[in-house]
Amino acid sequence: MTALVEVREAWRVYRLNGVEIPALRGVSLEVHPQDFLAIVGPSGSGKSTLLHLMGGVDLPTAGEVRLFGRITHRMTEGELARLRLHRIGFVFQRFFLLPHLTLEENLLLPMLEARVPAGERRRRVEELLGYVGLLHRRHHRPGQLSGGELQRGAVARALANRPALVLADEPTGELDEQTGREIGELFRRVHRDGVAVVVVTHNPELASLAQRVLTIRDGRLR
Amino acid sequence: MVAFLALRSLRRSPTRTLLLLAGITLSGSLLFDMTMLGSGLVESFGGVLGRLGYEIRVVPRGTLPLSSALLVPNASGIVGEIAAHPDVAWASPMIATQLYAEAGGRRLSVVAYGIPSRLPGLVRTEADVRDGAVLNALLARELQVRPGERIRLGTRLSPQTLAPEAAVEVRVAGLGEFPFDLRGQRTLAVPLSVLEELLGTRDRASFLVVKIREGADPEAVREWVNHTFPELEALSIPALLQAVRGQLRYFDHFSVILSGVSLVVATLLVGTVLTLQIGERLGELAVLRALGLQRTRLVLLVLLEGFALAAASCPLALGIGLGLSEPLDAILRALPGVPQDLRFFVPSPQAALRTVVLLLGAGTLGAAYPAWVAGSLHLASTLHREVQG
Repeated sequence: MTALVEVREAWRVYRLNGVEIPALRGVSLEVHPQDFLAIVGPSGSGKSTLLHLMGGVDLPTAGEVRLFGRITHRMTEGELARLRLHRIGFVFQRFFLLPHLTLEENLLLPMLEARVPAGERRRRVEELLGYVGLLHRRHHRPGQLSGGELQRGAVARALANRPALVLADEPTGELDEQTGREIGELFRRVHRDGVAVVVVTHNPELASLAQRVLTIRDGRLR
Repeated sequence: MVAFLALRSLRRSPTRTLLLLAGITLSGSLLFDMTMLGSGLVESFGGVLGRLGYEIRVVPRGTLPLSSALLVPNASGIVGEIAAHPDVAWASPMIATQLYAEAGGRRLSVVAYGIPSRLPGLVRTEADVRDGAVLNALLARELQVRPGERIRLGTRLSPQTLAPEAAVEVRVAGLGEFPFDLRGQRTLAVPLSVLEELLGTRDRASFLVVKIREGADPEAVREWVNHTFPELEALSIPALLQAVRGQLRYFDHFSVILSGVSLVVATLLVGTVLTLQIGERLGELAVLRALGLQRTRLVLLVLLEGFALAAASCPLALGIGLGLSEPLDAILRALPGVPQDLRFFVPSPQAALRTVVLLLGAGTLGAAYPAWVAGSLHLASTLHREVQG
């Protein structure tokens, strides 16, 4: 089966005041359709950096990352943006739903950018809000939603363009235990419904829901 | 999508946006006033000239176009030749001079025009100049005369009696308004023949006026007059306006400098507020990029925000500018030596359009730096810093 993401001996080195700081040191992994992968590790171990390489948000300093069969450092910024728009969904620790838009409008945003036809947009918004249990909150702004609702909204936004892969960076980091559990269940459901999920987390309970758990430490997978 | 997002972004901090709009609106209103000033004076002067009823004014070459000295000799001969031109409807000599007017023992210095009867534009009146003298309201009031009464006109006062010498008596035909009257100026118009008789200068004129036939080209006639009478200079309305424009260049400079200042203020206002706003929204912009918006779309988003701010302030800026132009116009028209009919601030669709275009340009230009900031943010490090915290 073709991998959605192939990371081969990827290094990511940051340069700070002339000093080179390696965040990733020769990491290799593959993500396949139907995968549910958790990446765990202490703060500063390179989890988010790895997730950024896997989402085409960043490029490796050395080694290679292939997304949907294409080598990221050979793609233009526009091609990477289009790939993220159509094939990858992102979920962030701080939700980052746009505060001046309603939940519905936040969901519409990626669809508008992808030029999804109006009728299809309306249908998908209904479907996604129903999926995450927020249909009754569609006209509310993020400031009127709880943390759990915000993160469910963010998951719905990540799914707006029907991606094959969802990347979540500490999605339960700002939530209480119970709400974190609900979000974990939501990711499991997303995975069951055919979307590959990669979660970077400190949360062992969330990690335990994954099929595979990779531990990263000092920029190396163990 | 970007336009939708830009408009929504401006509504996220309504108070800040309203304050910014107020600032741009005030700058825009000043810009509109200065745009009106830049073109208004010449437009207004052109309007006055256009209403006079002739298209070409012929003066001795090298003299001022509005001189009142009797400098055109052989006026009737020249007028006859000009009138014979196929594109000329009629031509006439004109006299403008200083006289003394007397009635009931009151003697006043006046500006007198000897005008052909077919030139109603020089004085707005219901009376007929052929019936006698048409006085402006100030002169009639100060001489205490009414239509139907008689006044005496003289070229100078007798040193012994202080009465006008070489006087003629004319009937007051009525009252009228003279477009070139200065504030406090006493003016009258009489038939050309009256002044010729009074001045004893047959066949001399201050200048000649030429009416062009419908559909004919005034510029062609002007060139023909200049070529045929090299000692004279024919000035069409555009040529006269050009001469006036040259003399009023300081108003242009004034207008350009203040317009520039208002544009810079509008640009800086938009630039400062949007730069601050973008600084607060870096995480949000990085998320938008992560979701799949391209760098150029973010640049466009911020530029549109600047454009939208300027566009939203345009209607009020034009309204306030229009409202302010009235008192500003009154102040400038109170200056000495300004003809009553002249307006400094003339509203026109062109001035409004120019203001709108400049203001939209300033808004967009102001958004250029924050747009560059938004477009050049490093996605991964911004996500690390802003989103993961």
